Amino acid sequence: MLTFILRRLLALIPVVWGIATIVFALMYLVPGDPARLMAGQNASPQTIETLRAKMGLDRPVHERYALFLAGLASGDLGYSYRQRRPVSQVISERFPATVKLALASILIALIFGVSAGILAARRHGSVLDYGVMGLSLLGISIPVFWLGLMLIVVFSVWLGWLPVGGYGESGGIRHLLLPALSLSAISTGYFARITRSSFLEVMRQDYILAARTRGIPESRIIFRHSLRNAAIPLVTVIGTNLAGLLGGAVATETVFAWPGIGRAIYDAILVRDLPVVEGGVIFLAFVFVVSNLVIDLLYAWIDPRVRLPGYSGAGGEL
Amino acid sequence: MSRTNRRSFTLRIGMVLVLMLVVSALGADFLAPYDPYKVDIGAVMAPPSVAHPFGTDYLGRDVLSRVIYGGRISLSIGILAVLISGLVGTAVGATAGFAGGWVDELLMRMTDIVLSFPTALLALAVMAIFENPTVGKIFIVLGLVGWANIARLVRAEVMAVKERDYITAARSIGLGPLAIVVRHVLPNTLGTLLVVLTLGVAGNILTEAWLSFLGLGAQPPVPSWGAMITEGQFFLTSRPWVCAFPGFAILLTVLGFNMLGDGLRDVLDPRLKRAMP
Repeated sequence: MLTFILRRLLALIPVVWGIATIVFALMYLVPGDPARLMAGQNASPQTIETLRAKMGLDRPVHERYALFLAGLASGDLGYSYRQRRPVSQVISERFPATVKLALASILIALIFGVSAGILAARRHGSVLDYGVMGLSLLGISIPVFWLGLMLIVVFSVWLGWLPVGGYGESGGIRHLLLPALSLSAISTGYFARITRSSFLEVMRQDYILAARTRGIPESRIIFRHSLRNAAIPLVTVIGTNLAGLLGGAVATETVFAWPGIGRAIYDAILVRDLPVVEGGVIFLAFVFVVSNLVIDLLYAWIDPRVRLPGYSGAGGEL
Repeated sequence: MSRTNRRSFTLRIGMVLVLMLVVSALGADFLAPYDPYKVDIGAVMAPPSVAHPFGTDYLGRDVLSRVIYGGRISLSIGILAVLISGLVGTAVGATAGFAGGWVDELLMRMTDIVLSFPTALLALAVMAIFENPTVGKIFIVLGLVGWANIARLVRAEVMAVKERDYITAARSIGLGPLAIVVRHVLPNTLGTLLVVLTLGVAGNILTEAWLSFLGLGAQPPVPSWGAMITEGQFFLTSRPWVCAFPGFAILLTVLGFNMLGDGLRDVLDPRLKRAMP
């Protein structure tokens, strides 16, 4: 297990490096002078020159690249022109709200998706099955930001049950419910689909038949004998779904004025505060790869076959 | 309904939805009741009526006409981006498969890295850097971030057929790698490729709407569905229809391509069912 963890940790480095390099290359290619942007409209040429030197913009590309990577390695994501403070500070301030939203969405998706998937598999071929499949297709096809807006119209404007947005004092359940619900739509759809198909697969296995012939109650067969094996593909899907979730969070947080990293990225897009956009994206990408690493380890723990070096069936990717 | 019936049912609904979209996009000039850019100060924010079935927006523009024209943008971005991904993916996959050795190793490492990117976020990072993001840039960016799974697919197929006798025969009569890929590799993967590309169109349309909603795609007054929702957002509480209809259009379109992809997969290659739930 230890070599497996080490191998996975090492594999993380090129991914993070790749993302950082692409972002650096793009930032370098973009026309415009960050120093001028930061100094403001009325700055004298001297001020801009000093600033350029201070920001290291007068150095050759390879030096800037090395500085950028060294900065990243020590957690320096750049400096916000608008907010006049380090991007890492903006992000650490916003991170808890994003984590809260993402976790709430995954939780909702797991509860609804898995139970709908099990129900559909149990009643395979019934109207209920088709209903669940149809709804999950809707879930994975819906633009989450639009779903959020429509939920606001129904639950906040028409019914007046929940606030239209914001964080309240501490981001309590009343403020959290609608954004988390809309963000969970896609994951709920995927979880229902994967649970259903892996459950159907497991239920066909001989050991389930053996359990049935021994007269073990159906509920015990589902929860004790099937769920763990059926959960294996589900775990991977949680990982791949995180990408959609983090991306969706940018729009959902915008719609609901939820003060997370996504909202910070959107606000920065509006005022062209590029370091916050790029730093935010690098950070979210980092969160994504690290969570996937954790999920891979979890996976290896549930399914020991994965730890073997030659095993390649784990990803479920095409 | 039996199993096969359900399969063709999904496929059929998907085909109908996609066909409807294609027809309305191609025939927009005849189908749209108004000019999608025509401002009418006399009919600002009109609720849905006989004259304006989807109502009008804050400039009095007909929402139905804008939704119809918006289909052109979504459809062309979805399809063009997928074609770019297909070309890049096929090139990378075929090169890796035929070359083998360190070239294969390098290209596949690269593919693995791209596969572990959250690609939509990468597209956002790229679009944010352009001074003026436009529709044309979106499809190139989306195309360039979405090739990795296609590269894997094509490489696997190349590896599978590379040592077969008919490929050796094709080589011995002087066929180059490009000709071999086009004649012998692609036809074998066509079914799978078609499924992946169709589902890719759905994903690209969603991502385009998301980017345009965030202001990083089609800019006003271009009638992109995502941008229409952004504009309508400010009047959400009193005039929800301005947001509602473009969103329905996105939902139906993405649903159509997803069902088409699902249906095609069930018909063409049931084995895939496990790989792509």
